[in-house]
Amino acid sequence: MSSNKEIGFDILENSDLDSVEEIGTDNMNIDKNARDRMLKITMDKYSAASGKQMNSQKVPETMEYAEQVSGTEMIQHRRLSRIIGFAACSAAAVALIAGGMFLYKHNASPENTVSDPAGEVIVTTAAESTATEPESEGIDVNANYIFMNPYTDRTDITQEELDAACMRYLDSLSKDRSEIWDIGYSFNDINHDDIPELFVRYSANGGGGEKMFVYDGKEYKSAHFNSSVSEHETVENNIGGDVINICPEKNLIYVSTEDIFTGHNFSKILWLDKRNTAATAFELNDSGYYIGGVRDYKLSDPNDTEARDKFEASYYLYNWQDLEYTPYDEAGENTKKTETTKPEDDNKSNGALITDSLFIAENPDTDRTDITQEELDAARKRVKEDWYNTDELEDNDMEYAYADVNGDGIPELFIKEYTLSHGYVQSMLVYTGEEYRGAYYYIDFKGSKHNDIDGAYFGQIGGNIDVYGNIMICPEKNLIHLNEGGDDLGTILKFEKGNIMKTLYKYSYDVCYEGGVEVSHSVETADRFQAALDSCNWQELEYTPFD
Amino acid sequence: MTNNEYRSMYNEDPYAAQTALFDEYLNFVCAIVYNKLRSCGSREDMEECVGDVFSAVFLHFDSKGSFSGDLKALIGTIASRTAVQKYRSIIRHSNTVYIADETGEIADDERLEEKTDRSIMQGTMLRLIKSLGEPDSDIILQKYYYNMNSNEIADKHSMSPATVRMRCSRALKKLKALLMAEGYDMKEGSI
Repeated sequence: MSSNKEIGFDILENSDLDSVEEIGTDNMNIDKNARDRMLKITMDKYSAASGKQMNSQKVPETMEYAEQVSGTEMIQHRRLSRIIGFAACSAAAVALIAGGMFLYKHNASPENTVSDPAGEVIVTTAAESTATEPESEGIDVNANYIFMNPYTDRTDITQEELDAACMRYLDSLSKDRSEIWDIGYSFNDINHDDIPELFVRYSANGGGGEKMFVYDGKEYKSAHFNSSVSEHETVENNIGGDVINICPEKNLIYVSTEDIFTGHNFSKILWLDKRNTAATAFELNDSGYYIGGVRDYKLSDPNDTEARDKFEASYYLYNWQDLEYTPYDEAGENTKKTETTKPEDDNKSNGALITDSLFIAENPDTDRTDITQEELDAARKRVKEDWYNTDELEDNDMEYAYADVNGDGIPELFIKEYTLSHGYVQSMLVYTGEEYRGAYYYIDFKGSKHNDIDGAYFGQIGGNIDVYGNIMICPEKNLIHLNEGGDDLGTILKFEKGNIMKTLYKYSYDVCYEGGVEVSHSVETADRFQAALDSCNWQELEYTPFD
Repeated sequence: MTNNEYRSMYNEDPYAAQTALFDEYLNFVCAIVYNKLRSCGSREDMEECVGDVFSAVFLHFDSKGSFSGDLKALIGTIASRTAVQKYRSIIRHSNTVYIADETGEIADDERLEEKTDRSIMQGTMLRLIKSLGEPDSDIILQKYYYNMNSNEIADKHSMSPATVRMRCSRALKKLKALLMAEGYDMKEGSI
């Protein structure tokens, strides 16, 4: 038993100020929400202690703003997220919370104002409000920001009919778009016409999203709205994005998408009337923040957060719900389709090993043909001399093995070292013609890709990481089985001549890939991975202690 | 931000001045509060305590009309004292006995020897972590002291979570070896 004293990271607690600074005051993760919460707490405490009335005191603790905001409340400090909920709102917006109505307005001209082009009364629930604004005020939505979606006035529609229409759409989606999976559906009657709207959730390569559909009496059709490109230009878009929230009590839909490259957030709050007409009430995009189609704030500097803050304020005015989806595959409705339309999956389930991949890492290589074993041994010894933690290891803690995995006649070097945290861990190295260098494989960073339901692809971001973990090889198929421990369930790499490393399978709790394509965790994908493993004769490497 | 800068800003717009000061010193105050309450406080406790600190700082200015001396040192002192008070308040209302209460600076002076030992161990731990070099030292602190997950750390360092895990694993192994060489065993429960 060791006579050493035990030490842990808790020893760093209760330090003096110098030590706290040495630990690093910037190392903490304080997000905007936490910062805003703490600022509010500060101001509330300060106001209470100083007797100086700060506006933050008026902010309710709950998010039920609609019941607590009055039209006369003056908010001065919009940097607080909750406070900006009011500061960002124009008088018209406040009136909206007060229970006003959306008015469709042609060219913002009073004489052209109509209460509803579809002939329906468009009024939010005034009874829920305690505010004092007159009910006749509301958001004027410019006619350019109103989209008439298909609808039906049939009254004999049954849920069975809607279920069948939903399945027809999902079947066709799954059949025509094999790169879309993990599909779920949800019925919600946003506009209270007794015909629920359909929401579909899906995963695609590295991304996914949610999309809304309306029933036209025969089928569910993609729902659309008019979106701002600039102050005077609109474009028709489908109601879909990374996230959809709903607020049925106010007939509202929130849709948000983030451009991973520019960081711009594209969000909108749409109002849906009984005839499936969508009015764009609030919108945030890369040109600014819009209320009813009128630009309330122009975005000129990419770092300017005011437009986003204003939109966020509008968002927090409502009581949003996440959608609850029923998994399409678990609904038992598409078993036949799966059997008949996914032969590729069946092949995989039968244990066919994927042999190619979109994920490729080009490791250093040499075309020399005069390499001798003596040269490799000398290079191997230099590896040990330069090993990053040789000083901390006993000689017998480090062993090596040669194996020619890619069949190019130049053996790869494998190092096994003893680690205090994980026991024995192995590394793979390739010969460059001069020395052995750490081998790596390519993996993409989950969440950095986006592929929407309509197939728009925004590229991918990824990187190379070391072949480091528990390693087994299958030289006859040029394969490496790597397990990195922790969240990793296993990686199968194909190592080809020219030191080309292909990531055939990657299974971890974070992310799963087959042939460089992201797949969901499921019994089927797990079976395929196991079948791929079972199709190879894996060998343990035989290690030799260093001289 | 200096005392004069704050005062002139405060004269124009008190709230803007307070918010600017809050933003400039938020990380500093949070780090101090976290350091005291890490083992016993909830997130809500810590946020409450940060609110107490800044509120006290603002009130201090109101009562004096200026900040005397070094502003950062003043805020650090207020933060430290407020966090200790919060710590005492938490453990008074808790049935759990915290080790730090027995051994830390909050404990009474009779435990001088333990305090000295602890101070030496703190210094050793920090020195060895720093010897890992950047970014490994930051990653280790973020992972095991600040309890951040790999995704959060990855965001801060523009790395993939897998790379963070790998670096973390290697750095931890190295740290254990360094500690062993200094006569310490890493407590398993603290990893």
